[in-house]
Amino acid sequence: MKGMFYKDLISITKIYRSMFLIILVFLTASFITKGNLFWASYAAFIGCTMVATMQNMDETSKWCRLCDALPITRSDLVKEKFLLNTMINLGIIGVYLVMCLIAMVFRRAPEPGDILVTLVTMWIAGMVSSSFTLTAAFLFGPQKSQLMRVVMIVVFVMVCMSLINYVPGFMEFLKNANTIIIIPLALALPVVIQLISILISSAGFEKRVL
Amino acid sequence: MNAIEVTGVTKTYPEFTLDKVSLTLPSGMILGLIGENGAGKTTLIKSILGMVPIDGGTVSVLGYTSPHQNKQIMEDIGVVMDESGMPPFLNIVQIGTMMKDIFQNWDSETFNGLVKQLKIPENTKFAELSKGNQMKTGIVCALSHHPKLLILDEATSGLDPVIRDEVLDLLLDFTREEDHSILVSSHIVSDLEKICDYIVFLHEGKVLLSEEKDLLKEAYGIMHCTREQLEQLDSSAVIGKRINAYGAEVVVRKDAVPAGTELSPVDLEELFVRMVKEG
Repeated sequence: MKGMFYKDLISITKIYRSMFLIILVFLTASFITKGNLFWASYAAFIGCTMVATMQNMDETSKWCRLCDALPITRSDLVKEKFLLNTMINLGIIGVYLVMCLIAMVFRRAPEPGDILVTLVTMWIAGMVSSSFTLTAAFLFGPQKSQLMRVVMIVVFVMVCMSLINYVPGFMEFLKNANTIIIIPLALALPVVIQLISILISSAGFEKRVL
Repeated sequence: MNAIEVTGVTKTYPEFTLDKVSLTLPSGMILGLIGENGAGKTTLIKSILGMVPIDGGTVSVLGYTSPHQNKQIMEDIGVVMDESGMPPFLNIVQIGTMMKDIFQNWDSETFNGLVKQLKIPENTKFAELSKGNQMKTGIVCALSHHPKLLILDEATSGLDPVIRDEVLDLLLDFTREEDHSILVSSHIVSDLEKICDYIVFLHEGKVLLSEEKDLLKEAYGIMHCTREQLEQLDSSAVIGKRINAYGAEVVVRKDAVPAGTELSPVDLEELFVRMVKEG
């Protein structure tokens, strides 16, 4: 798996330089808009769709087919991509935290409660969205999953915008919710969804002819 | 022990069927799979490696079935496919680093030596390499983890004659170890003629001929004759013929022509082409 990580990290740094810049812009935008949840969670969302795009590229370039002739199982390929996705999500959350710390120095950071809600939302956005996009990539291949991802992005943007901007009291609900129950649940649920996605992806990818 | 045993393998696609193909590659030998484009060479190789599920028959590679589900077996097999499939954004040095973490037996010294020997550019991304250099990268990777069996699908197709010759030498070097075997498919028959011990002709998903190369060359010959002499020949002796204004050039089975008939040696390409054209 180490070799595959190496390959993906090199590829990501070569393909997605501009995407990382966009993520940084979105994270900055969440500060400028005084902790607007949408920008930060969208940054996590697009960060994690990168891995699904990489999987599609691996299939198009016949790398996945070559892996069938290497000591790598299809299940290894699935696990590596999901793990990479989690690392990227944690990386983006880490960058947001660093930005918060810098903002604190200049006394411009959001309230700690707002930061916590943002972090949890980023975790959910990254993990849940990638569970769907990666599973689609493994089950249906590059073309169909590409289309599904575009649909998901539209749905994500519409749902988030509606919840944040048009549902009265939604943000208040998040901030005032019982954090002892909600936060662990919000952290654990995406992990469960992701584990189920790994199982479904492994089973489906194993059966596909590349 | 046989490196590969294929018995009655069948694989059906909507427009193509690999039809009860059988072949055996004894350990320490090189088997050449000859066939025109679309004859089923890649499908057969994928079936052997377990990369596509077969509809019937049995496959055994180094004593195991479905090798791609067994990591340990894949350590012992080096594979080069027609499109090598290396990560497009990595250069050859990075590909070497990646492979070191994939194969337990990876030999960086052998890898670096072959990269230099075959003059593969070290700082160019794989996607930007020429077709020939991409193929060379695949071959170098396949040889650098000390496999016991090499499976090459059209691996020499994109290479110029000089490099092809170098690659063929590498393959011959590889089989100096007595337990090293090669299955190589190509439509460049002259390459296979140089290195193979066994030859299999594949045409429209069926095995036309499977024989030891030397026996094959002994069993067939070319007869230069007139049209009248051609008509007198036993039809079972004629594998194929080319008729022109000056007479006929006939590929014949030596044991079916009258003793003392003057025959010139036939090359595999001529034999294959005649067999395919005559059906």
